[in-house]
Amino acid sequence: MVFSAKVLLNDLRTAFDAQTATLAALAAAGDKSQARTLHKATLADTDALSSRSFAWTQTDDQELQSGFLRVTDTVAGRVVTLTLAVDSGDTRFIGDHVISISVTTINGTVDSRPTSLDLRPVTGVRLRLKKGVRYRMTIANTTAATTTGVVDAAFQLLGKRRRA
Amino acid sequence: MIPLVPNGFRSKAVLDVDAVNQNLLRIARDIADVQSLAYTRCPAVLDLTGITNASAQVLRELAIRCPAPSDFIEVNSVELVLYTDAAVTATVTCSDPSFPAFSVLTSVTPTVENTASSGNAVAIPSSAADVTFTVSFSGAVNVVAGYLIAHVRSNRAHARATVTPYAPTLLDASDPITSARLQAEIDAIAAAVASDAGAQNDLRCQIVSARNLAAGASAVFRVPAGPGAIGDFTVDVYVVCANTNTGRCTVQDTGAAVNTDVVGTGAGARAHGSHALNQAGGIDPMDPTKDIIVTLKNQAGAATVLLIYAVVWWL
Repeated sequence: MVFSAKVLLNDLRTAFDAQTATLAALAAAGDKSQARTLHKATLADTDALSSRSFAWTQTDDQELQSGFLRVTDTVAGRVVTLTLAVDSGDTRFIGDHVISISVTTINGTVDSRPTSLDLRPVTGVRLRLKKGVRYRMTIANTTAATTTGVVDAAFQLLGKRRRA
Repeated sequence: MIPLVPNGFRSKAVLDVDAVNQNLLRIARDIADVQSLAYTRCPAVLDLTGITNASAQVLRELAIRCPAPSDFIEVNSVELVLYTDAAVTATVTCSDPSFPAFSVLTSVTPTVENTASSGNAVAIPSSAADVTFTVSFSGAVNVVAGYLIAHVRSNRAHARATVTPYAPTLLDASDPITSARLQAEIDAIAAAVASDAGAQNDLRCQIVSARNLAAGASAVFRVPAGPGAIGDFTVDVYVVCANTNTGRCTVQDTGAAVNTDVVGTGAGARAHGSHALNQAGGIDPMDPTKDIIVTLKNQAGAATVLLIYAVVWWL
């Protein structure tokens, strides 16, 4: 805003409001996504946990936004699950929430993104993965004596800018 | 935070110096607060499954560089996770000697998880040279499964733009409150706010990797879309294979696919290539059609691509 020789108080208020509004938008602009992914060419029911899980230590607080489990197979009826849990088993960091996705294979590709894990809406459940806590995402083929095709799994997290 | 100025100048007809000064001080504090929110973190993960103590160094190594010359990133902690078939000491070292090595004694039992981590930080100063983290072993061992995580921290205030601070020049009761005087303060505020708006690059990366891709073979990875995943930035591709072979990384979301071909430089060397990404993707992680698809392929040549990985950077 460019003031004229005589400044109206209204104009001054408008000028301040314009800057604070932009500043408010900038404060929220740092909300950006990150994914934790797991990919496996085949998944047998006998696969060791080492080959079908990924564990990491959070270096910042981030909110869980969503997750998906996608399995491509030639045989229908196999049950595959994806879970996210605190590695130590200490449930106080995610409360009583079970973060899990389950799919039953088809001859083709099945992709599950349950709305119960769509935590993006402004209201409702918030699940925060805490800095310093080690989490583990695990996929499992729970149908005996079977092997699936390609399995892709992911959890989407939302991070915020920090001062350090 | 909700930036607000304390005085809206609605109730009085006369401009009060103290009221203006309160507003200037408050908005100066809010600008400083927003500008100080500069750091974003992400994990860069390299799969180590299948390596042995005899693997060439480049196969046991995570290389990372800044995606652009003026970016500012650092690795501020590193995690090593291994499942092995022998009891050896696994050590992580960095090409920057200021980063202290750390190690773990592994188990002979392949189902036992062995972990070690370091909270030390190291700068990634260049977009032309890599900083590497190397895993080495004290004796014969096979890594049944494992990975190395470099936790990356980026500083947006140094990412191709620096922010301009705002320090108010407070009005004095003895000064005439001219329009020019008020204009100067509002302009300075606007400049500081605009400079922050120009430094919105929150660098984050996602690494996908594949080992031992036979001629023509490929592996396809899928990353969900989300805020900031649009406006893709660049991809760094690393390939270890014979110089008669080419590794290809293809990145695609809802836009056109971007191929990055990297010709190998030998089984004991790491070749690098990069490509700018400017895809117009979606932000809905619930929609599979908006996923970012990364394909790693042994594109040309008869030899096996021993290792190929892509560091996909987002703003």
